[in-house]
Amino acid sequence: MNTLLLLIKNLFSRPVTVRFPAAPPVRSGYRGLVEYDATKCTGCGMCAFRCTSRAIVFRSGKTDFKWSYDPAQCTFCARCIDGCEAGALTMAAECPPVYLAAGALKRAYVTPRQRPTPPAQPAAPAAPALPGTAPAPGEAK
Amino acid sequence: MTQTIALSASTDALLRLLVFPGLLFAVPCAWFLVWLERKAVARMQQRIGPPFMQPFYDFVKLMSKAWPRREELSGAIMSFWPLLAVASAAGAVGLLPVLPNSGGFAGDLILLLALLEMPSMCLVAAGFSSRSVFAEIGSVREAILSVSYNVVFLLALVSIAASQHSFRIEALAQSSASPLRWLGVAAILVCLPGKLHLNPFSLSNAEQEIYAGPLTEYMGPELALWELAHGLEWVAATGLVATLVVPHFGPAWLPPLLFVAAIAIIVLLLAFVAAATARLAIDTSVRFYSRCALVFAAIALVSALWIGGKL
Repeated sequence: MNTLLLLIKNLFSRPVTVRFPAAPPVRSGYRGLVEYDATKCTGCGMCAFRCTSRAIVFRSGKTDFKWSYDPAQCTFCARCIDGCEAGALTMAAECPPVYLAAGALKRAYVTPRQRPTPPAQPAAPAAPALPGTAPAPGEAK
Repeated sequence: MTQTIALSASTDALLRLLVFPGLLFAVPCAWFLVWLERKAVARMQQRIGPPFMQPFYDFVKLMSKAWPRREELSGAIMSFWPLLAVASAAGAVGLLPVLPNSGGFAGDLILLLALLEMPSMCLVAAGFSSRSVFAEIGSVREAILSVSYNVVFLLALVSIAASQHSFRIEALAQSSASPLRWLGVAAILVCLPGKLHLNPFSLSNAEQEIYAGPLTEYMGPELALWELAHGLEWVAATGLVATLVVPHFGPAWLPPLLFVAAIAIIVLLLAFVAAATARLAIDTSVRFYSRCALVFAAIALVSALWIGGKL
């Protein structure tokens, strides 16, 4: 009896789904398309390594690297986001847009590999002070 | 003179089959009923449901796909079943006396029953022709279910026909309604979910278990024809009930309108049952028809024969 009442109530109430191509509002923490920030990426390729659905492909070169993403293959598991230590990957907080052609949302970025900055040269060790000489200025006693 | 009458009768039969209530009327009506059922179930589940033209779009899309190429004889047989199903269902719709004094012949009820059963038999044969495991399971289920509900379905119709002493559909449609007829109509209504593969008797095409059942291996235009045959089955089966329920009266344009309104109400009723119930297993389905509804129809038949003997 409860089922029948529920059905009748549903029949005259507002539907929870929307007409295509309208997108429903999403809650915080929604896993949308993966977004890539080239300025933060270090080119470690960890995201492609963690992507079990092969949506992210990483090609490494000597002078640059290519990061490509195919949303059609993505399962939105967010493992790539979790593994990105540089914080270059985020997920959009909205439904993916409607597309009519295969691969329309596929994206690829070629980023020049940045020359690693050499570590700062440590200052030359000061010559050991000879016994009986005065310590250099600022040197702790 | 005799030739003129024969020509007129054959032209009339052809018009009924091709124009009204045949293909030209039945195909849009089938799409409308399919949409109405899907929409009603969706709204009862708090979904928005498909747009009005969706069954038409589905049909056009499937028809625009490439015709599957099968080289062996089994492939040709597979292609034959949906065509036969569409032709049978369209023929069944063409026999319905939607317009008053629309003709018909003695015994057309028997032909209607045979044509109504043909799509189901084609479905069973199609499943076995395709040699898919899922299709074969679906066909076995459909065959068992068909035997179960058809006993009730036939008994109910025979009881109605026996009470009116006629196997002519138009005579049944024009005769006055009686409590016995309502009993028979109720028994037919119980059979309709099984005949139209709706919940709780949708086990032959249980998509979570056996994909599309007998239609698993079908695609493109063949699948479109199956969908069309199913829609026409909707029109024929619900139209049969509407014929028995809605009396013919008023001007000529009124009976077709009442016919469409009656089948729409029956479809809503079936959609309500489908949304409210879950799929039953094959043994439970067979037990339901053999125990509950069979008793129901048997009472109607015995009453019809008894009343017929007294009159």
